Amino acid sequence: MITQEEKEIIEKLKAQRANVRPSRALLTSILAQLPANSRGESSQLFWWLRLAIPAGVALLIGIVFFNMQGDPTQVGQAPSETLQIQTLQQAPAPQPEGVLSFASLGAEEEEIEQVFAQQEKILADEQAQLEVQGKTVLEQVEMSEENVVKIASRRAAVIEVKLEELAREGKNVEELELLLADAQSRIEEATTLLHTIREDLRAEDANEATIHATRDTFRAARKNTRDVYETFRTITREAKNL
Amino acid sequence: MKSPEELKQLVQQAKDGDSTAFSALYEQYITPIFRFVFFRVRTKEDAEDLTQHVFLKAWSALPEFGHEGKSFSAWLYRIARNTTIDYWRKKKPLSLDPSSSAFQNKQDKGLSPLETANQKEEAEHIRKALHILNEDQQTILTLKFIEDLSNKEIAHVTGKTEGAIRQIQSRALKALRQHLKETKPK
Repeated sequence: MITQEEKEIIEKLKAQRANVRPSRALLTSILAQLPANSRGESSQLFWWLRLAIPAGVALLIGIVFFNMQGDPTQVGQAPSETLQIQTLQQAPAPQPEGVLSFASLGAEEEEIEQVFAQQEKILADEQAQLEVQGKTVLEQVEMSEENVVKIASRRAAVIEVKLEELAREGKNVEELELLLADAQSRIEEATTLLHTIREDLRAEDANEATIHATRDTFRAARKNTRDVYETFRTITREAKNL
Repeated sequence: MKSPEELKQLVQQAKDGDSTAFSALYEQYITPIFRFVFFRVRTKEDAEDLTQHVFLKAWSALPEFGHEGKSFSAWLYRIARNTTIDYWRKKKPLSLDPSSSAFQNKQDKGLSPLETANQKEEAEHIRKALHILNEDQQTILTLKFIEDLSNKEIAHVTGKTEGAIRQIQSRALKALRQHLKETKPK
């Protein structure tokens, strides 16, 4: 139900449609920047490059992973950390029957917190050596964090199914659905942040400043994921009281 | 204003590398995309830079664009959204630039200086208020009420379900109402 005050806000927002316009300079500036009829030819010429780049990147990631597992001098005591991260990557999806049990949620959280703890160590190590090696460390961290986001997404999906079931049983789950929508948007935000980290790290001009900015972004994504689990806990608690 | 069929044809021509067709698309979409970006960033200058960036990105990525169930405008808004997310990620958030203005010249609209000043103040107030919302809430309110997109179109831009969009919209309006109440000049 929209209140009168909210209707007024909507009207104010709508009024902005007529008020805001780009400058005339912007209207013409981009036209000069487009190469006349040249993109079609180049895209045909380089079709193979578009296939080769992702394949090359995938291969590079594979090599980095392989090397980090085999070389204990990289990333301090990296082998055991890598092993734990890999264990997480292989973790099975949460089972639907356990979705609203604190035990299953707690186990999953503990697993994710272990990865966070390992990542803290890796980051601390990386801070001491802001070299190319540090960059691969961050790639490793980013990949494991992305895995955490995947687990959180799966959890959100099964909670959604459970809430639908509760709604069919006549329970009022409106507030819980709002909480879930909020958690889902935070997961998406974290995913976007992680995606940009990957792009930044793979950029040819990546340097120390990039790594520094990446670390901040990574922490923002991690905070989002933690908030998501806080919300999951609330949903679990409230669902039990329905 | 071009018909959907004309737009589809222009998109196809632009996909094939025709920069004249892309220019026509640019003229069609520059204002809504600029407006969307303007309400998400700090200054008009930033909004103009990012808008240019959005269209250059679109030009490069156009060969990958497919029509399957998605409109060209939704695709453009999605690029614009990602561009603004990237902007905030790379910049330290500062207060909005109060001198920034993206208003039509008053002669264009026949407004008095006082009316223009009031409109400018109102838009700045709204823009600042929008910035207290989270990224999803800002995107959805801007697309829904300033850009007049349907929930279905917003779903294409954001990748969310229409139900989730309704929920986020409702929550965003409540947050905005609360904020405007708290910051209302006494």
